[in-house]
Order: sequence, then C-alpha cells, then structure tokens
Amino acid sequence: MVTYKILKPKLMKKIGKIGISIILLLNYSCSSAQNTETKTGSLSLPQGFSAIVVAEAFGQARHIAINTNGDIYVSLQRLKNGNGIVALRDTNNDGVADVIKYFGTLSGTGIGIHDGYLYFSSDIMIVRYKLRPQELLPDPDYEIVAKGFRKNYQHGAKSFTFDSEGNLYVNVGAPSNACQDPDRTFHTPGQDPCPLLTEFAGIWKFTAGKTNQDQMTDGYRYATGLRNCVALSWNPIANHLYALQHGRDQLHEFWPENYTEDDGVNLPSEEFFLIKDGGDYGWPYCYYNDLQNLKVLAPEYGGNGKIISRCTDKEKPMMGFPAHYAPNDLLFYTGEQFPSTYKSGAFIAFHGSWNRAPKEQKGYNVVFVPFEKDFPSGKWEVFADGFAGVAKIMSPKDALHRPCGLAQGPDGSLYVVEDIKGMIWKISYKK
Amino acid sequence: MIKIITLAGIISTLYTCNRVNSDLAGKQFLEFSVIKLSNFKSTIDSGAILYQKYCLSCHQKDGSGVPNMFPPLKNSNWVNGDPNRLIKNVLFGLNGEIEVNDEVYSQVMPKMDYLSDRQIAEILSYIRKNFDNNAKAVKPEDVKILRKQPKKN
Repeated sequence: MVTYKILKPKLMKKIGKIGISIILLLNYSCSSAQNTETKTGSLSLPQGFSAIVVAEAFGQARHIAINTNGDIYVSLQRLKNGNGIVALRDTNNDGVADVIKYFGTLSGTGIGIHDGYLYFSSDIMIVRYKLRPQELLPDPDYEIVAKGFRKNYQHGAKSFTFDSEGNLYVNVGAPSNACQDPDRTFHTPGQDPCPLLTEFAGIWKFTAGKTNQDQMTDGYRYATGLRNCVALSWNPIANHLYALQHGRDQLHEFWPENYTEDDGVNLPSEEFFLIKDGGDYGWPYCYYNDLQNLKVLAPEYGGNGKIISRCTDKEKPMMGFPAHYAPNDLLFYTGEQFPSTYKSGAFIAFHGSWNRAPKEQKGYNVVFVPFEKDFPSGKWEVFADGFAGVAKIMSPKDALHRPCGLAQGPDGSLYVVEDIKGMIWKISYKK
Repeated sequence: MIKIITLAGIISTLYTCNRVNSDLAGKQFLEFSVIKLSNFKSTIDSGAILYQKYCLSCHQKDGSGVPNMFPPLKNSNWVNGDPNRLIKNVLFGLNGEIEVNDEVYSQVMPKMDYLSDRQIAEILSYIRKNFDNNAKAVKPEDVKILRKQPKKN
C-alpha cells in the first residue's frame, strides 16, 4: 500500500497486475508442489492420502472384491488364457500382490463375496464358487445362482450387490439407447410402451443362497426404468439400495433441431438414485437435466428439452453428475481408517466419457459424496484423479487407465481397479 | 468451416479470373481447373463433415474408436480392405462379435441406410484416405448396387 501512494496511477496499475500474476504463479507452484508430494502411483489425492500399485497388466478388469483376510478377486471382461477371474494375495504385507492366479471359465463384470462364497456374473448368469479356508483359489466348480438373462451385447454387464438379509440385486441393463427400433437411428420414435422393460432396464432381486433361479420365473423386478446401472450397492448403514445410471446418448446426433452439439455433450445428467422397491426411474421416456433440476420427456417420445408430461410421476435422482461420465462402481465407506468425513459416504468410480466428442472427454476419476443417514449431505468432490495419465483426453484411447471397480480392504483402505490393461491401486490414509 | 471459406474463396477467385480473361485457351484451362479442384476438395470436405455428423461420436475424432466398445477405423483392415464389406456395414449395420486389429468388439453398429449413395461414398472415401488408412475412394454407384441386394454381410 505504501508503494502505491508514491507511484503514478498507471504504473501502479501495471505493478498491481504483475503483483497479482506473481501471487497467482506462487500460489500455483505451491499447490502443484503439494500435489506432487501426495501423488503416488500417478494419482492426485487429498492431503494425507497416498496410493500404491497392487498389481498391473493382468487383464481387462471390471469389478473387485476383497475377502476378510485381504485376498483380492477381480473379474475380467475378456478371458485371459481361458480364465475370467484373477485372484491376488499379498504374502509379505507390503500392499503389493505377490501371488497372482487365474481361474474360472466365464468372463464378466460382477464379483462379490457373500456367506463363504465368491459370486461372479457373466452377461447371462450369476454363479458362485465355494471359498476354501486359507486357500486363495476357491473350489473350481461353480453352481448357478441365477440364469435366464437374455444375451445382449449392449449394456450386458450383470453387476450385483447383496443386502443384509440374504438377497441379491442384479443390474439388467437395456440392450438399447432410448428404445428406438432400429436402435440409435436418426429421428426414429421410441417404442411406446417400450417392450424391453419387461425383461431389461431394471434391477432384479433374487435369493442369494438359492441355486438355479430363473430371471423371469423366480426373480422379482425390484425397480424399473433404469437404462444401465453398472454401479449399484446396498448401503448397510442406511439399509437401502443405491445405484447410478448411465444416461442415454446422442441427443444432438438424432434430434439436432432441438439439441445443439453442446446439449449433446452436456445432457443428460448421470443420475444417482436411492432405489425404492417398485420404483420407476423413467427410462426410456424421460431423462434428467441437472441444470434445470427437471426430469423431462425424451425426444423419442415427443420431448424437446422442456416438455415434462409423463415424467412428473418418475422417481427423481438424489444427485446428478455431469453427462456421460459413466459411473461403473459405487462403494459406501464403512472403514475406520479414513477421516470421519468419509464415514458412511459414497465413493463412485467414473469410467469416463466417450460421447462428449468432439469436445474434451471427462470423468476418468473417483469422486466422493458425503452422506448423512439416507441422503447426500453435501456436494460431490473429486477424490482421486490422474488415472488417464494425460492432461487432456480428446478420445478415450488417449487415457492410460479408466477406473471401473471399487472395494474396501479389511484395514479400511480403498482399492480401485481399472480396465484397459488392468491395474489396482490401494489408497490409504495417514494422519 | 475455414476450409470451406478458403475453398469458396479460391473457387470464386478462379471464377472471377475466368470471367475477365478473354483468351479462350486460358478460359478453358481455368474452367477445367475449377471443376477439377472443386470436385476433389468437395468430396474430401463433405466426407469430413458427414463423418463428424454421423460417425464421430462413436468412432471419435481421430478414428481411434472406444476401447472395448466401438472399433477403431484407424489403420484398420476393415476400412482398407474390401470396400463392399465396408459399404454393407454402413447400409445394414452390424450385430454380434467382430475382430478388429486383434481386439473383439460386440456393440451394435446401427444401419445408416437413410444416407444417400453419395453421402455413404463420401464418408467411406474420407475414412479410407484418413486415420492412417490408404485405400481407393468408394463410388456412389457401388453403394447403389449393394443397396438393392438383399441384406447380407
């Protein structure tokens, strides 16, 4: 201030500008220095957190499950040397897997441990392998828990979760973008009613301990109007089912008269739902615009971005995320290791977009949502970033890694798995 | 867009030159150049524009596709190879597993028979000359013949 008084106004302005630039520059270098300190395994994490790479290049991983003894099981999207499950064990407690084995003849996405069994899903059935005490590999013979899912190449992943009463909830994605016939075509109206809803686009409930259940005769359609919820998880604290939907694509490409290129990039929101028994979440008739906080009618059903019509009755999300981020896993944190703000909150793995082209692709991170009882208690924030390994992602191929699965270790660490070549990070916190 | 404006500029300049030039031989030469240049440039440019509109969202700006979802067009034998197979993929779409550059892809390729013979030819000519590909252009006549044939891939 003293300097300012003795200098001419113009010069003062210049010095002021330079000063601000220096301050900004200093701030910037300080913050990058901080980031560098906390970066491990190429990730950016909040202060106090660090990551190590548990294993890498083991195959196109999808979801991950961790047993109470720390043994890790990862599902593979494609068979590797004829096997679809990777089992990993850390024998010397350094966090890095030193035993890596392959087993199972099916490939798929869902994997989870329940009641002494390792559950696994291909795109057409849920099976389980009996775990053996002390042994990394379970009994090689599986039994079928649920079957009869019709093979669909689009949104085929049968990800699943368990509640605390012995029920199994399975995502049955829609083999479609917006229920057009033919699918994904210019100006084709949506089928009304959409026939896919009877067999797909919902969450089906089964008994976890029962074998050979058929989707249509033994399964119960717990919720409908869900395009594809690869990320679903039972929250043991709230005692509810939660899921995130992959929102529909290509609003601009097929309906350019009502949607600009930017609309196609920024709409619709990826929705985060509390799933209620019997709930209808709106697909394919409606989509969610988080900028307007509205569920609106899809253009395939006469919508123009503003008309609400039948969407008044559809369940709204608790929270919306930017379009096309592709939520692929959800985990409610129950550990003691992380600071108390993380307790009971949700971690979400975003696989990252492909359909924000020609604009920059986004997502490719793990976010955190604080929770209080049943609902989010604050805004979401990026928890882990830097998976892609590049500053700007113009095409998904530019990304080195795409987060796909989450699990909590017995010591309360968070594990993240990615699906390009397969990499697992263990994220831990130290005061 | 800039390319189109530049092209329009070149064409109009040549056209203006053409009109003020009284020498017949020169006029013929310029007319010839204008036609040749506009034909060549418009095919490439409109192919690029059509690609952006109808193909880019899945196959991406650089033709690299989306890992595990949509196959790359970049350096692909599906693009460089048999033009008839390529034309049929656009006209009738694809459903089921295919292998491209040693990776398996299984997402649906929607049929795009609402595009004209000329539009399909322009898109395919564009992708066969870009994204590290180098193959002959596709003619609208080739698309016309295949469009009339029963669906077969």
